[in-house]
Amino acid sequence: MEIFQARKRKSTLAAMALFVALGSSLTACSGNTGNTSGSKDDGNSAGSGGSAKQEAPVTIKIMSDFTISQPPSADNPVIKEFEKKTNTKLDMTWVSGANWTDYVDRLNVVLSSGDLPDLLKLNDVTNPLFQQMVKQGVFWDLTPYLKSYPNLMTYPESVWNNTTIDGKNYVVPVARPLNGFVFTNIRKDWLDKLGLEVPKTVDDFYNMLKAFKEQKPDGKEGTYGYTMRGHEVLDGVFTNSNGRWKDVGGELIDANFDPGMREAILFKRKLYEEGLIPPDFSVMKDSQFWDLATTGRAGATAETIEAQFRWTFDQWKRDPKVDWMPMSSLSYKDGPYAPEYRGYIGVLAIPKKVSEEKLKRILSLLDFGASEEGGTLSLYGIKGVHYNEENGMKVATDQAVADSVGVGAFGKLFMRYDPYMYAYAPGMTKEIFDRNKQVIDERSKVAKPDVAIGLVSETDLKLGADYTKKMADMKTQVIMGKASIEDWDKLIADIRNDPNYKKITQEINDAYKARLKLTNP
Amino acid sequence: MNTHIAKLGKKTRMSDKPKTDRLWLDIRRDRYLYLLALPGILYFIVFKYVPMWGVVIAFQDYSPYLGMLQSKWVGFEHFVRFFSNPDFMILFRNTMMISLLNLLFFFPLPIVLSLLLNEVTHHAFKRTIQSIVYLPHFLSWVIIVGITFLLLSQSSGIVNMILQWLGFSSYDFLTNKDTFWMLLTFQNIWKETGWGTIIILAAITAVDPQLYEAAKIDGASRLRQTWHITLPAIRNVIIVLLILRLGHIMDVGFEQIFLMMNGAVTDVADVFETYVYRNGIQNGQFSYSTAVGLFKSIIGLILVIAANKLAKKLGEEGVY
Repeated sequence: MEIFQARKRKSTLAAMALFVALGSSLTACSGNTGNTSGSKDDGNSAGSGGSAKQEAPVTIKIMSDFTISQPPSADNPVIKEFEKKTNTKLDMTWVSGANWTDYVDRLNVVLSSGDLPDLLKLNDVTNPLFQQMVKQGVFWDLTPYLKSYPNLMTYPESVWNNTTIDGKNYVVPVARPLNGFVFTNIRKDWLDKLGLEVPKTVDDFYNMLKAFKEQKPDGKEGTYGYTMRGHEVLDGVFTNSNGRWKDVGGELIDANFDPGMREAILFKRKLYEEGLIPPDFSVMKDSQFWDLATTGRAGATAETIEAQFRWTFDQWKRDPKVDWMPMSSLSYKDGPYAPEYRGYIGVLAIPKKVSEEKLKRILSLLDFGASEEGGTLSLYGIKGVHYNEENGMKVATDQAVADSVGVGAFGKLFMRYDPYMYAYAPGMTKEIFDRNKQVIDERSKVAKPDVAIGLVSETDLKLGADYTKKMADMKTQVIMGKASIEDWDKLIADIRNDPNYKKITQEINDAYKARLKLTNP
Repeated sequence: MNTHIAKLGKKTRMSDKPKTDRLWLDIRRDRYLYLLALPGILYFIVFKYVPMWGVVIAFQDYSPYLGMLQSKWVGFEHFVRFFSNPDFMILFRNTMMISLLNLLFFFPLPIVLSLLLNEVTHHAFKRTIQSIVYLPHFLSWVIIVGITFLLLSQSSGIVNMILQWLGFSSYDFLTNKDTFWMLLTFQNIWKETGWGTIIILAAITAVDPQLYEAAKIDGASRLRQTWHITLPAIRNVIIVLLILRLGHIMDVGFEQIFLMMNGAVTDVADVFETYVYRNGIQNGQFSYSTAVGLFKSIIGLILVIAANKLAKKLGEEGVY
């Protein structure tokens, strides 16, 4: 009886302990137990540091995101191939990034738990927690090492510059092309049917939307002009600047204060009043935007060139004549505008608890991922298994989908810089591919970079989100006629005079000037 | 004098010892009951009391890397920032209004529904209705908000399609500031009314049937019976529920509001919970959002204590 009782107590305790351990491992977000594998790879790295480098494969714990339905499994052949080529053992934790804010929430939990993987994918260097931790010396300063990795060095200089903190590289960006990202796409077949030209100015764009709505080229009741997906791109057209900050004679001002922004709001309000956009765009989910776009009920939307084609490819099953064409640019008063993408989809950081020896191995792994061979492996998989070459184009097999090859998972981690990457998506004909490349070339002539990428203002991290949200909400309300444009003017005037906001603007400008000095000495 | 004190001391010590012994004996005797309670006690210690120490970060400039022990102490800085924020009044107003609407329209409904169910004499019918009204409680907010969007969407919602078919113009249910609070209250009523009847129905079954018989003999109608017997009998339970509800007056349900919020209605939809989420989780300002959360809890505590005092003054039992 006594023994029985004692045992019971012990097992309750054990169960409790297990429960607690489970809880902590959950918050640490490591799919497979934290402590044991941690000590294991410490042993490994010590081993590889001491003796022959090539013998013991080093275990690297990685946390990264994926945007396809299933993450690659542990015995995925592409992972195996990466491990073989780089003599590593990759212990992957894939976190869904389908909704990017979810990934950032999870990332923040991992950062605050302190139980960091060896290689951590971050949304950006501007992540407030990451900034804090860099200052506390949690992450490696990679600046002295990077020069010895030639493939990583092929990334555009602006990408490297934009991911520095105080002039130092604490992260390796995961490159993406500078052009081909989200901008307006239109139904070229509708234009042809109605005998319209591809719009050049915002007025043309408006007339096109009006024609789409009134003449319903696919004959569907309730046809709109523009889905309003990603309608922020229009703000850029009107302010002729990309992103939150606009460079006006070397001085950064909030683009919301630019008179162009007021014009943009009034333009969208006109679209709303005339029913050229869905009345409930502000509550529509992504799938609903796509529903409108792919059922012939809207003739304009916004997306990357590559993703737009994936939708088109799907739509072809129902209507093979559909032709979504990415626009090269749109112009308002200050000439043609297209946004330039920041050139990276996220950044990778390595915590200091990793030994220097292992750090080099991790960088070699990333360097391999940025090479011709590694990049192909990441995006297309293994030749003969995941793709075949036809007319100089790589055609994916069904196995490629089964093994999660492509930008949706491996491409979030390993990427060779290819300016035309966004021009291609599986299933694309050569003609469309060539047209997309041409669009990218044209965009690159006028594309505006976001001047403030990677710049940080301490005050902004603390208070900025509320201002941004207020302005965004007010825009929505004015567009929907729930507030007047004077309300907007008043809000802008208030924020302009707000001492905290003045401080944010000052800090961003200081950071901007400091970076300009560093990059153009 | 001295001896007297010594005696007293001795006396208390004397009576002390057997007391602890008796306690120990009690524990030994009821050891299985204590064992049974252990998981619950551990649950409260591990998940409620230990994390409670975390509120100290509301008075620090907490950095996860430095931890609670080494982060800098800043006193009431975060509270000052919160109260001097012009958004504070908006958040407070929204939270209170949503809560009060719930209290006014949602709270009485389970009572009314229970009284109605109590009058149903057909047993199987009563059971079925009871089960059906419980069901929505088990749906998550994600699903309910999804259904709401499907029904009320302006461009493709069924309700608006019917309105248009009948010749009315479509109505912007989801993006209308004026009706947003009512929409939330309505969702809450739909989801939780049935579930709320459980406790009330249980209380009603405890009413002595002799009272009803006596009333019947006196010629009381059913309405009279409800008014003079059932309601007074369950008054205690209603008051306890009301007090507990007041304690949660600042909790208006994060999920529901977060999911229902959109750019057109943020002015009326932003509440403390969504604010804490935005600042704490998304912006990593743990100390600041803890301060906001602490403020919320303190208001809740004050209300519970005040309501309980008031209930006692009015001659009711209260929760403790």
